[in-house]
Amino acid sequence: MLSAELLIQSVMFGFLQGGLYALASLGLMITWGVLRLVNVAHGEFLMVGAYASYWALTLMKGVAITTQVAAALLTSALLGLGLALLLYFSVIKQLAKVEVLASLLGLFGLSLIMINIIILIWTVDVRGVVLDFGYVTIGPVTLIGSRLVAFMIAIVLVGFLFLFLYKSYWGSALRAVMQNRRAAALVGINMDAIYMLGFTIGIVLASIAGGLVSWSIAHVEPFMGGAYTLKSFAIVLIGGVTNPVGILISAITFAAIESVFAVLTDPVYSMALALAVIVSAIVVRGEKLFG
Amino acid sequence: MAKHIRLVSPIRPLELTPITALTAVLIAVPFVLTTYQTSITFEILRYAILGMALNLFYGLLGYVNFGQVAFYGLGAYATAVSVIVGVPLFLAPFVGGLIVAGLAYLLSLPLLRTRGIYFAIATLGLAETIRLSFLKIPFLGGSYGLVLHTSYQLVEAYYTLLAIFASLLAVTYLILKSSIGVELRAIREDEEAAESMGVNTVKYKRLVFTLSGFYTALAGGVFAWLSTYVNPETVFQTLTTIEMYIVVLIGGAGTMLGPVVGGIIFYISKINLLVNYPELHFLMFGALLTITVRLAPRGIVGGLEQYVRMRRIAKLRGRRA
Repeated sequence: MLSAELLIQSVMFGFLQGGLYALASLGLMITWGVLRLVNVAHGEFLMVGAYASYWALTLMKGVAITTQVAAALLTSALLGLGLALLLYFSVIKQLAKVEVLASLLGLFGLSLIMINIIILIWTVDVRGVVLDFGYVTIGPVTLIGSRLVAFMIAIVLVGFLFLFLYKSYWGSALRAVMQNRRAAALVGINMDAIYMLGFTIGIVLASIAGGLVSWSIAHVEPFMGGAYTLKSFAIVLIGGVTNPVGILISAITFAAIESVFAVLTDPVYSMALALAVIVSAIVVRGEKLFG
Repeated sequence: MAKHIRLVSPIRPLELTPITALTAVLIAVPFVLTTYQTSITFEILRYAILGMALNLFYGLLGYVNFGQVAFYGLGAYATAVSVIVGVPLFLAPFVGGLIVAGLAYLLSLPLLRTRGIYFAIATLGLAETIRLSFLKIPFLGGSYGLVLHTSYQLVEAYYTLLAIFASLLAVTYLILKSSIGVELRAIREDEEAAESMGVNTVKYKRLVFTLSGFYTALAGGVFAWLSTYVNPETVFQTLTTIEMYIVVLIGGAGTMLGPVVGGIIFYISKINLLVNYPELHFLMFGALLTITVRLAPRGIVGGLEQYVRMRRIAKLRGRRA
């Protein structure tokens, strides 16, 4: 049964996970809001980022732990950047212009390709590196150090993203395109540049989130992406596609609820919860969902 | 409703010759070909039916149901349960199909309030929710699934599937020839305009959603019969939805014979890829998907129809000049 202690523990546990969810969901928000692209391969970009970081960590064994973390972060960010630019110019630029089905199928095909390339390189074994940051005990709650560090990195990155979105020209332009693309084009925003920027930022955020997963949750496998895609969609739908603050709040709330749910029942139900949220949010609020 | 439905273009027996010939050839298959070849034909028929059922909804109406596989899986499960409670085997897929048609109608009430991309995400989410719940429902066997306790009856299942195939062809033909087809295409081109012209959009959308669900469930039911067991991981794969779209897109969305041609080409290439490149076949599958979408937006039959139409127009212009 659920004691008060276990409840607080699992809420805190979910809270830390929420940082990673926020990073991934904000990435999804940007690709969706800017390109109007339903990126069903979002989780796969996260997965690729996780493998990149895992690979960097296996190469850096024995180095100081902060260097390891920095190297892993940099690797997944750079790989995400490269992948995003490559795919943007080869596939996404065209996909964003065609109808819904074509983009959905094209992106699904892309996710199959990514999963299978990863399987060819790393097989289907579960990977992961546990970085030892010790434990932090606050009253009745014990937090795992690596997850706390990952959470803090995620929150710092989210902070930078907010600064970018609200204080810079390109950030304001991104938000303008998300809110009303026709009006944004009319006031002279360079749409091609914004599409590229939006897609790149979205993918890099997912990739970094994956990198953090690889050494905090330390569960990396080729099929991990689907769950992250679905959860990110649920979070974005609750938070609102043009509302970064709402997404940050909904990510942390969602993760906390999911964590309590997983303790009470089966983890499968927490997935079903995410999906139920998606379906009911769309059906009840419909197109009003997006302002 | 009945008095509004009428034929808008005449039924020409000549048009039906290729289909009748095809069906006649298919009837002979189990007598002429080996068991293995019959089972290949069975699979091609199954994909053709899945494609045609999807085509009714996606091809004619233009709505993207990204959770189409839910009908298939529910049909397989409903059939399995019917068999277990004692419904005769050859009836079970139809009982399953009717149950799923009822469910589809109920689901259409909330789902069809959404459109476009939102409809696609909602259906995808719903299908995944159903798959996950079936993994956990105890009396449906959880992830282990259900076993039908029958033998492998290829010929019986084959003829049932062939009958379903023929009736679906007839239904598609009649819809394309009748006012329903015109109204569905009007909704596809511009839903607001169709509605303001007096098309009862809600009624037609529900009708084809239910019909598409019914036929998809029938295919799932016959599949359950032949494979003698069902479990969530085989009948609720999102990949199956994708396969259905590939079949429709290769052949040509919105055409009558497109999904049949698509089913043949898709299954033959699928089995060849599987045999020759077992590790790479998923990768090639993904590539095939992306390439089809990029290069052949109208599909084979759609492209041919377009070509014939252009030729006819060119000829008319030439005559006038």
